[in-house]
Amino acid sequence: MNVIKRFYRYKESTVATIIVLLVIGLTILNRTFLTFDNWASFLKSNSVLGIAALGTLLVILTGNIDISSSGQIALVTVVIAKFMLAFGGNPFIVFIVGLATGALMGVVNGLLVAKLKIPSIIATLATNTIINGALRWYTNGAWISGLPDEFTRVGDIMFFASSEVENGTINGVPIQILFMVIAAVITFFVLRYTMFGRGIYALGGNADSAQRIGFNNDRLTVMAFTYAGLMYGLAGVVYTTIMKTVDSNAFIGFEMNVIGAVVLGGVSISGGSGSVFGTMLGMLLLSIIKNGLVLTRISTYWQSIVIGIIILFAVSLDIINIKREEKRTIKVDIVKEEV
Amino acid sequence: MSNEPFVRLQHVSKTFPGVKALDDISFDINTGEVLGLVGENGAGKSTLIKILSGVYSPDPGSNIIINGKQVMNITPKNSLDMGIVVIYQDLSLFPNLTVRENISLSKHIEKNRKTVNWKNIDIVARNVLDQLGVQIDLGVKLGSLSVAKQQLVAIARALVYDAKLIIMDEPTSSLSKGEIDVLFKIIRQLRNRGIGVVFVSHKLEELFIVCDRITVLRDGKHVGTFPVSEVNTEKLISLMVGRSVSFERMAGDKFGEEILRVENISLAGNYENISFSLRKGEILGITGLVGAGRTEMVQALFGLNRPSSGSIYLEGKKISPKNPQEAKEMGIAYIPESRQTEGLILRQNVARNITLPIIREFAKKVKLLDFKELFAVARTWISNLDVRPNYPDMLVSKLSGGNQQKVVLAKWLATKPKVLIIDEPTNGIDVGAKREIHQLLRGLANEGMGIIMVSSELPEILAISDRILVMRQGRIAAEFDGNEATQESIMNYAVPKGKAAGGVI
Repeated sequence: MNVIKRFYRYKESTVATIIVLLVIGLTILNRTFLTFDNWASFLKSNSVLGIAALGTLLVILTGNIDISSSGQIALVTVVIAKFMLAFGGNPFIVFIVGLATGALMGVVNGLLVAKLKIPSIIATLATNTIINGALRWYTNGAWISGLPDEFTRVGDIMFFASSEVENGTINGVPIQILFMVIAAVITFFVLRYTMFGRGIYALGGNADSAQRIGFNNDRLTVMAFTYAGLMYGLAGVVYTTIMKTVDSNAFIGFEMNVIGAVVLGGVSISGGSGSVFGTMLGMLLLSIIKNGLVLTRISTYWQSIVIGIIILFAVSLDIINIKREEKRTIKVDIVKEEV
Repeated sequence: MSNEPFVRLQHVSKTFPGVKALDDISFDINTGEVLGLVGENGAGKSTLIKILSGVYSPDPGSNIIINGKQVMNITPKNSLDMGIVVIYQDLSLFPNLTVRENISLSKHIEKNRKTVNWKNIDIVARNVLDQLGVQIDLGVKLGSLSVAKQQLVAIARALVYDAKLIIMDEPTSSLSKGEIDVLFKIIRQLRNRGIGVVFVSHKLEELFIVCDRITVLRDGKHVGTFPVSEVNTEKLISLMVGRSVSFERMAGDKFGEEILRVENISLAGNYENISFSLRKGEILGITGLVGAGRTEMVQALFGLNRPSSGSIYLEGKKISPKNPQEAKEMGIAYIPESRQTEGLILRQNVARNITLPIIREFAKKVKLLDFKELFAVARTWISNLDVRPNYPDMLVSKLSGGNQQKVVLAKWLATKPKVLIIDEPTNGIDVGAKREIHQLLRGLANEGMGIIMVSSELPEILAISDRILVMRQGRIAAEFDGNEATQESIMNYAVPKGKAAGGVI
């Protein structure tokens, strides 16, 4: 009993439980669900979601929100596609260009929020709208294809692959999953072992106190948005390795999936609480639901409805918990001395 | 312990626009002494703390010597470097982080580290808690601890800063008796180690238990600093009160029948067993220290909280307003203390603000507003209360504090209330405008309205109340006739008498 209680002290436990139940249920409904191929395949396509969620995680931890992930990823894909068509597809250089583009957008968002004090929801809504408009104008909505082999080959790399390739099945771990895992590990270390990471938790927990003990809140905010931009940059490059063509409209509405993955993973939307592990579980849950709907032949139109309802549910739980905690902590009114 | 004082304040003043918050303060805080700091609300305690912690800079000509060196410019950073640590009432901790991080993180920042050494975080935290002789699980989230334990964590963090002087702002306000004992033990222990403590508290009895000396502030002036052996509670109260401001008394004379009666209302943790009555034409002053439950109690009359027991009668009929809307319709008006955030819509004009509670009356044909009439009504109120400037379409945010308060008053008078409840009516208003508000209230009472005025300002209470209720720790501690009360007699009842740990030494 005690073990169970201790287990559910962690916010991540609920989502982990739901995942286990879903896996059992879906496996019963369709035997192909719990196969290596299926998992490798849907995790590959959801690696973009996972990497982007790691970026949004940092912003949400500071107590802000970033709804510009979709625009930033789309921008990165267009920038690297055009770059490759002009300068060739050296994968290493393409990665640098992608990450730099994302980081730059992140700095802009961060400065708007930290320096101009624009509420993050408005600032990122505005940048997202501007980016999407600019992309549509620039690409005319057309797909960009014909990317150099040198780059697109990277997307097919498998790890731990056995030599026998069977017909039409995935063999080994796709490189995109590896990218996501590396991004998760790095983000974990940033949050756990750098003063920047601890500062983000402090800022999200109590901004005034963070300032009082000497954190530079503005700089932390800018850095968090920049880190998010870096992750969106990586997500954009990884996406391009999967699709091998670029569609600037592909990401419209994607930011809600990203935020959904983060909050499903037990990250508090009011900031200060949440983990990389939880975010990855949130990503996993969303991916499993999407995959499960496909496997059980439920219309894909239902996807967004189901995902929307689940996100609503997760956020409501979070709000209820926050309210409950507020009730428990004694209210200390700070009486302002009259001057 | 050296004889050199740790902090020496010489002619320290602080002027805010229109107000002298500190006026030529000079006294010493000795190394390793526990100094009590008392004064009424607004006496200048917080301003003084904020100057020592570098949040405010004092007026030119002020002289502060810390550790033998004259400090020209105190910033939050160098104040900490000199070992002055303030523990604010809100403790400034992080509920979402573990105890060990709350204690040690600041040390990492101080050393300008870029990465976290968890071993070091743990050792530093363990060491200070050991020094304090306190046992708290270092791995739990701070938010799951009791307030008392959180306070010990805040003290531990202060020690990590190498504090020479810890300033505690109302540290006992939310602690139980046993927890206060522990806190006092820790304070004595700090003193024995040569760490000074400035102890700000409303609970005077506590000061005698733990302090070496007590400094009294009044109206921003230093009344005196006394060894505890030379003063007692009564003496302290007489030193704290007697503020220089006083108003000529405006008493009522003709009171009508009882309009409001409150019988034994209670709401756990806020107010208990409150009974009183109010007559037409009467101003009932309710006073007490901040946190005595005054505001919560009157809010019950307006449906902002629901007492768990007891009854309220309006004109003999039992009422139990569920929300402000209901209370308003019954004829009760409530003007909150923070008029800018709760009483007004600052970005709208005077006319819209005044007519807001009665806006339905102007929704004539097909529910559209009749602005001509709305402005006409607003103009009447503007001239009745003499709001200046008298433009109905002026933004409320552009008015002075006194005129804003008149707009709030007008707004509620437009609902033609039988009972008017007004909380801190002249908070933040200059003296002349205060007087005008007093006259308005007295005028309304003379017209037959029953008025309940909550105020911390004793001169104001004494000036216009016909009867005075003193609240203390959620209960009515005393009732006075307005003609007989004095500041001393009121304060005697307002100050908590809880026999704190160990009794009075």
